[in-house]
Amino acid sequence: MIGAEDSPGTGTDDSESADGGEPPSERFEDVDWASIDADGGGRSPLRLAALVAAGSYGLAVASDRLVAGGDPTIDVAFGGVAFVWDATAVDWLFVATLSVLAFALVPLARNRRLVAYYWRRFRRHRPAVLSLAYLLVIFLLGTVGTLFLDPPALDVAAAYQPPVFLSVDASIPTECVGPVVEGRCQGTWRYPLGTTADGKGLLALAIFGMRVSMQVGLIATLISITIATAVGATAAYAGGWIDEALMRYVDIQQTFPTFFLFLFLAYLYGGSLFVLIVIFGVTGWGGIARIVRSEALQRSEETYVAAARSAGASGPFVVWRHVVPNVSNSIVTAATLNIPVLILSEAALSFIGLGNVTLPSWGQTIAAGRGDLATAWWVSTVPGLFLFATILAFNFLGNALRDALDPRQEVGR
Amino acid sequence: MGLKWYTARRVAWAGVAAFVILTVTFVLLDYAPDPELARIQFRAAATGADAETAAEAYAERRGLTGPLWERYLEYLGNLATGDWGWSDTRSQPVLAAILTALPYSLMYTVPAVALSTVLGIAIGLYSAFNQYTTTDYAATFVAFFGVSIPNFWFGIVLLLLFAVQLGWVPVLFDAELARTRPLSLANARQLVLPVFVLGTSAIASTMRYARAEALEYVRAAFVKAARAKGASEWRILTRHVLRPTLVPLSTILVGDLLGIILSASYLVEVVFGIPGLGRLSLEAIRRQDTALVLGTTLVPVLVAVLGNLLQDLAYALLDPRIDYGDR
Amino acid sequence: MTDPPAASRDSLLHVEDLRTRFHTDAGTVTAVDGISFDLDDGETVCLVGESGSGKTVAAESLTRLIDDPPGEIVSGTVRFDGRDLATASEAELRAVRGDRIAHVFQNPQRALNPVYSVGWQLLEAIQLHDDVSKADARARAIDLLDRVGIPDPATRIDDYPHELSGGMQQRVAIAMALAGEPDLLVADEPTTALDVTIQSQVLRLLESIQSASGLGLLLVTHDLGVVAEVADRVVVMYDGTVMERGSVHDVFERPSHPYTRALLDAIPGRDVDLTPTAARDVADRDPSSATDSTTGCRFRSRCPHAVDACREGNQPPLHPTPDATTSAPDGARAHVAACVHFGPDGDPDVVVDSAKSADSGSSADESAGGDRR
Repeated sequence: MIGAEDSPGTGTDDSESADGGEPPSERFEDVDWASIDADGGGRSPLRLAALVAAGSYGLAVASDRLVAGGDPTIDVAFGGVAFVWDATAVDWLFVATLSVLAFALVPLARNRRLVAYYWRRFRRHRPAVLSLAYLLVIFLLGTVGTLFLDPPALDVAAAYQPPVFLSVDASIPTECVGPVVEGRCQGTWRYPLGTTADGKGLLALAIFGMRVSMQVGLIATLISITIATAVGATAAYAGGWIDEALMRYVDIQQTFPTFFLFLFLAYLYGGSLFVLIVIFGVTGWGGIARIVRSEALQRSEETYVAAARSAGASGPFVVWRHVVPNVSNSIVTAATLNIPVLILSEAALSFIGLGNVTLPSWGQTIAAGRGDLATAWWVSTVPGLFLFATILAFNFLGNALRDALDPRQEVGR
Repeated sequence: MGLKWYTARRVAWAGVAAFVILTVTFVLLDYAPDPELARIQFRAAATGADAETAAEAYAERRGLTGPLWERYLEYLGNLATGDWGWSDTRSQPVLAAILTALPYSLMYTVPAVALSTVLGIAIGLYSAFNQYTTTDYAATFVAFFGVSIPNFWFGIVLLLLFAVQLGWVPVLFDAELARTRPLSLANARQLVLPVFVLGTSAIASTMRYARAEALEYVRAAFVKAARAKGASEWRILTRHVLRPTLVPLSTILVGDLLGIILSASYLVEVVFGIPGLGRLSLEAIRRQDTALVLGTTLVPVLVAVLGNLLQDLAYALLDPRIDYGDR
Repeated sequence: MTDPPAASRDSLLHVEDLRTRFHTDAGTVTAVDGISFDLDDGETVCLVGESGSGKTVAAESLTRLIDDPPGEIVSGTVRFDGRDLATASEAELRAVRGDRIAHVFQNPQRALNPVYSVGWQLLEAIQLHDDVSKADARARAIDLLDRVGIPDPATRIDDYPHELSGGMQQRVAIAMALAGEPDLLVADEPTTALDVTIQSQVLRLLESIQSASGLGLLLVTHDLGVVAEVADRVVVMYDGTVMERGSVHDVFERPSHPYTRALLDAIPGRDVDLTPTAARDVADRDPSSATDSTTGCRFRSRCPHAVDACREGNQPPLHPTPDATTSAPDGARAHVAACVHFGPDGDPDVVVDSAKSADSGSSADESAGGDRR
């Protein structure tokens, strides 16, 4: 088989046989939202489900905030297993985020061929597949696992226990939970990853830290992409002075070094997780907006937009129905790469002590262990490893997604 | 149009950006609850005095009376003349505090930036030229590593390894040594780890971008044409690929690098105990020294604005193709 | 064009059985699968073929300009000036490139480095092979620009590529190619990316340069009109191999290989353009499927004269055509076609005699098969 005139194999021609199969004629971007939504003209099962979900969500939040007062939202016990959940504001946001995600994934599930095609391309990056598996585990542990596990508890007697299979000089922990062999306190399975100076199990801290990271990453990113998509698509579609003004604003917002913005705002408004998430979400959308805008600009030139307009569609309608779905690939990729940045920023802020110090954030735990580096080195190391692994996983994932979904976006390549 | 006009417009825009940021910062600070004020009111109430009068007296003393815009203008004026406010917690002018801390910050950021930029571009270019070789994979791996590793944690781990376990570098930073003998070997020794940690974050980013940009050109027709003229691979790399790569690279690099440096240095200073700007800022926040917070936040922001400006100008200078019309 | 010189024993360029492969994600692609041809001083040889025929790869393989990886020259000889370029060292190649063999690329906009001035790039071309001072080099550069017809060269020399029109850019590229005073100029579709009006100007330029300096010209093109105008000899390529080879008169007046014949008949009026659409008209009979051409003749799935013999073995070797004895008798210059019908067991009349219906406008002597045996 003869290749194209120019030397083939440059990697830029990503269609046809290179992926081991014919690409389906539509990509995620071509998903026909109109047909998915339009069964029954606006009252499709999906729409209905979304409305019901939104309604019940509203009710639940209202009841928790206004009615329940200080009582936990859910307090049940099934045959010995207690299930208590006192929903905080962040938790509500998290539920909302997860619901939105679920609804966003529905059209994907309907289009099996598309998913299979993307999966085939994605599967080539082995580190990315491993990363995906790892992240799913973290996600489940962090969201579902934390509901059933006890939060890390203060227990001074169990301070400074080493991780299992390791040992530390017996003088360091106050009491050794495990056996003392040759003057060294052995680690036990009771605290597989060791304990901190407060006797809190590092494994529990790590898992609860997962929840914090997940919440920060997902909620803030959702906020960011919502704003970014709205701004970017509007700027691209409206053009003219609106575009100019919006982009100038983005310029200024991006000139402010993000970390300092966080720092500054955290200083002003306190470091609660809720505030942090809102700040991240509301200030971190600039880059994504630019991407959305440039993608949307390319799309606006395409005929179907003109066709829609000449058929009488209004501006926002065209934007929502035609432009946005077609830039979704870029959005997904940008979002996935945004999450690790947020997780890292949150960890950094917690590390410096600006976050909520009662939260079991990974950064917080690392900071707590700093004073004991010479003796109980695992306190700082373990959460750091989790943090590193999670960020690395997201970066691998994001890179692979970019290759699979939207190779154009990468700078170069 | 022309270069001069373009420069003027970019400078003007930088000014506007700085101005907007200053305004926003000032307004935010003004509206934020002032913990000092709260404390005074609380104390007044506790001792039975009138909280209201105490608050007024406080405002008077601190120059917080008068309409917002008046205070703002006064503040701007002060900034321009070098009066950046007074730091209560350090009992010195804010500007003085900043200037004392600055050299410590520069001591490790400058070498880190220089090294990482040069090495990053070199490795990135080499990678692009020798795609899919072992060196390329190794470099890509390092890049991923550098971008993903939390630098504060990395610093801690390195300290653990090289200072605590091996004793090759001191565990604590000796500020006195740095101040009196900055160019000594001993100072270099205590700066190795901070430079390394900061450099790793920066180099990873630079390397990735350099490689990605250079890849555009490595297979370019004009590279092939240069080869057809009989140019050596080295010449092609250094003369034909480097220049066009630097153009888009500089746009990404400065902004990105600055972001990394500014935020990472914060963390690096905390981890290693270097009394630079980052640590100063943090202390200010912890002790709620508002004037100092403002000052230490403004410095990096203004540096960022300047950096972006320089980046735009560099881009215009390097690429003869760009139209100085609109950005 | 010019009268072909007497066949000489040692041609300027002798390519024999050149094979170039590319390793891609989808597998190994043999872009050039055994081509051979000769080129003499002062001669113009055209490599003709549609998109995908491997002609550009072939042209770039001569001085090993192919990106390696993913490409590699697997076998064959490229004899130039007594040396085999296919196996020469990097240093030897660099000495030849630019100085003895120069290359002009298809898209002049992209073949010029955008961040350097025209002068800078010309000086580079000159100074890479000649130890002259900057001032001398600059003077030579201005002279070169003048030679290729750039108006006001002393000023334009400091222009940047993007400040010039397409036609001017290509002239600059030609000037760069001439800087080393090469013996052979390889031009890959030099006019394709240009406006129609500019195309003939550039062609004229190439012709005049050739007659002035006597250099050999290897022109890669898909435009049969260009071939008819400038070629001395033609090498027709399809799918990486040579289908037909001969002097331009022979090939155009007595096209032998079914592929050549189809190309020349594709649109009435001989001045055809081998753009993919034209080729697709030819392919209408039986759309070619890539996998089909692994054994036997590559053209078989699109050939109206395909027989069982075409499916066997490899690509048929180049057999002399019926008029071979009347044209140049020398092996390298003979009119040959890679088709079983011209082989010892075949009957050329099968191809040559086939009556093409509705051939309005094509000259009568073609279908009459003037020189049939």
